[in-house]
Amino acid sequence: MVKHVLDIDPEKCNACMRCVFACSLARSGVIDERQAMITIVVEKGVVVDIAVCRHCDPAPCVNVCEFDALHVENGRVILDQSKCTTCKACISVCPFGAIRESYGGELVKCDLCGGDPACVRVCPTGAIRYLPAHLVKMRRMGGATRTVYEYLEIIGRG
Amino acid sequence: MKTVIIGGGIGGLYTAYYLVKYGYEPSNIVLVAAEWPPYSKHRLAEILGEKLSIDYAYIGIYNTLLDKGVKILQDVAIKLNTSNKTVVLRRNGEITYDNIVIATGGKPFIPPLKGTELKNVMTFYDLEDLKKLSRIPRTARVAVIGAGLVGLSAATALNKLGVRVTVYELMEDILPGVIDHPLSTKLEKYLVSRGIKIRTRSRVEEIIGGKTAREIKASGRIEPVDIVVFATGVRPNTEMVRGSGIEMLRGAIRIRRNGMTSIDGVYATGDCALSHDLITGKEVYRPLGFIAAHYARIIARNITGTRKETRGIVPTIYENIGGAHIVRVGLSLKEAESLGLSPTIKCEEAPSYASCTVLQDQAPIGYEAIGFSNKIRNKAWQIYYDIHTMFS
Ligand SMILES: Cc1cc2nc3c(=O)[nH]c(=O)nc-3n(C[C@H](O)[C@H](O)[C@H](O)COP(=O)(O)OP(=O)(O)OC[C@H]3O[C@@H](n4cnc5c(N)ncnc54)[C@H](O)[C@@H]3O)c2cc1C
Ligand code: SF4
Ligand code: SF4
Repeated sequence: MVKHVLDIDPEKCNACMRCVFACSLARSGVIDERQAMITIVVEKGVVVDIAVCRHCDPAPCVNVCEFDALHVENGRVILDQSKCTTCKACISVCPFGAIRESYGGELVKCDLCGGDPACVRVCPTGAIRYLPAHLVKMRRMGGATRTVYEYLEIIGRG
Repeated sequence: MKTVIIGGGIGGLYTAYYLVKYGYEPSNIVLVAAEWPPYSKHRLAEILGEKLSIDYAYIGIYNTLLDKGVKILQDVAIKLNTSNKTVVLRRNGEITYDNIVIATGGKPFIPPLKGTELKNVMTFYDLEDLKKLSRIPRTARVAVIGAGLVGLSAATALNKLGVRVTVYELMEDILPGVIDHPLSTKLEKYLVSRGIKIRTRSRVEEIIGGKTAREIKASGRIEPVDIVVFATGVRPNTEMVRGSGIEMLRGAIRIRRNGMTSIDGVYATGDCALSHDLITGKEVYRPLGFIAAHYARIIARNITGTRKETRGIVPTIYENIGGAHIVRVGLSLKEAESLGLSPTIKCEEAPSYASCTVLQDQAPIGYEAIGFSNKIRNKAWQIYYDIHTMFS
């Protein structure tokens, strides 16, 4: 199957929070923002970002994790709780603010719900869509001169 | 071939993990651990502040290692004898090794002051400390000595519980060495607004009391106190290698770029050892968890026959200090200066964040920020990779 990722368009987001609640519900069975893997970032009343994992390829977080707690599985960047020590190095280099601390220092990040993301199902405006990766232009980031991919080519992996 | 690992903290645990991952026979690994099961210190403050069970601190992979057949000895190593490749354990006596990995971690440093032996004077370092602090009454007045990452994490966790906290810091700024002046000032204002008292440029001189601490004297001023928490740094814990002939520097074990000490077959990682800074190539003492794991992986590679050397570490730090997001990659101005560079700093401020780039000869060697913004994140990872491109 073609690799699919989330396509994010903050301009379409009206901060209804459905994706946040659906995400938390899918992950933990309860509605609790702190357990959601997606954050709506609002500055001065304006949605400036939807912080969620873009499953970068190759991914800065996977590259930086010294504990082998992040790995790629079918094109998805997966966090393995049993290996994570909450050193938070990955948070410092994630370009998308996509790794969050939940209770007791447990980290959460999007795993694309195994291929049927709950957030996409509930988003009424199309601000979050699930599309083939090659169609998603998110590789080019605001203000950045190079893409994640180019940077990772330079540093190489593990 | 038998590999003995001393210490069941992050360094020791992940050495065992990577050895198994790279194909080393698990039953040939002996992990000697004074504390078991292994846990992460990185979660102590969160557990304290959210009144959670200490079960949150344990690191899950130890079960997998046990299932695979790694041998665990709950014991304390007392003496290393490199000439006949043995190590003496307190209960199990002498055992032999082909390779040994020293991962004995650190111990909290308490400055030699009057009154530090009093009851209610403690550190914030391990599970015992966490248990003690979890039990203190809400009405307690706590003095935290040291405004580094550990001190401020403890202070904000206690503040969250409604405890009255005062932080004493010898230096002019909080988080000295981690972030620089313009940002520390912002963080300090924020923490004060959350109800934490902060006394910078304040030298703690004495803890006063009968059996229990009652007052604290700092820069001549005496204030009442119920609990004193020292967060004044970590020193290498290297008693068991004393007299073994291993090369040391300022109390820490020196290691080569493959993780091996000056003696073949003896490796070291974590808070007991030095590490290499990527930018300057210098040996540094940085007691950080991801550095322990970095060398654990390198050591496991070398023991399993793949020659591998580290290019060195670029610090990657994130901390949520009472709601303030702190990011730091590469060197801070102060750390760069202490490593012999002559850096400059360029800072910018916006409503949602403030950040500084540390430069050496126009090239970025570090980035530090406070806030939660796309701008910070884009810059942090870019500079992280720029540093790698420039220096390796
Ligand atoms: C409150 C706090 C928060 C922190 N937060 C972070 C963070 O967010 N990110 C980060 O990267 N780092 C963080 N650190 C630092 C990090 O915890 C340490 O760098 C890391 O634990 C070092 O691992 P280690 O294996 O070298 O030592 P340790 O984890 O201390 O493990 C050493 C182990 O060896 C055992 N031992 C010692 N001597 C012997 C002996 N002779 N025989 C047998 N066993 C022995 C000890 O009992 C201990 O269990 C934090 C530290 C503290 C205190
Ligand atoms: S760096 Fe961030 S956005 Fe990219 S894969 Fe990792 S968590 Fe996802
Ligand atoms: S916080 Fe966890 S996942 Fe992130 S780098 Fe550290 S160990 Fe890896």
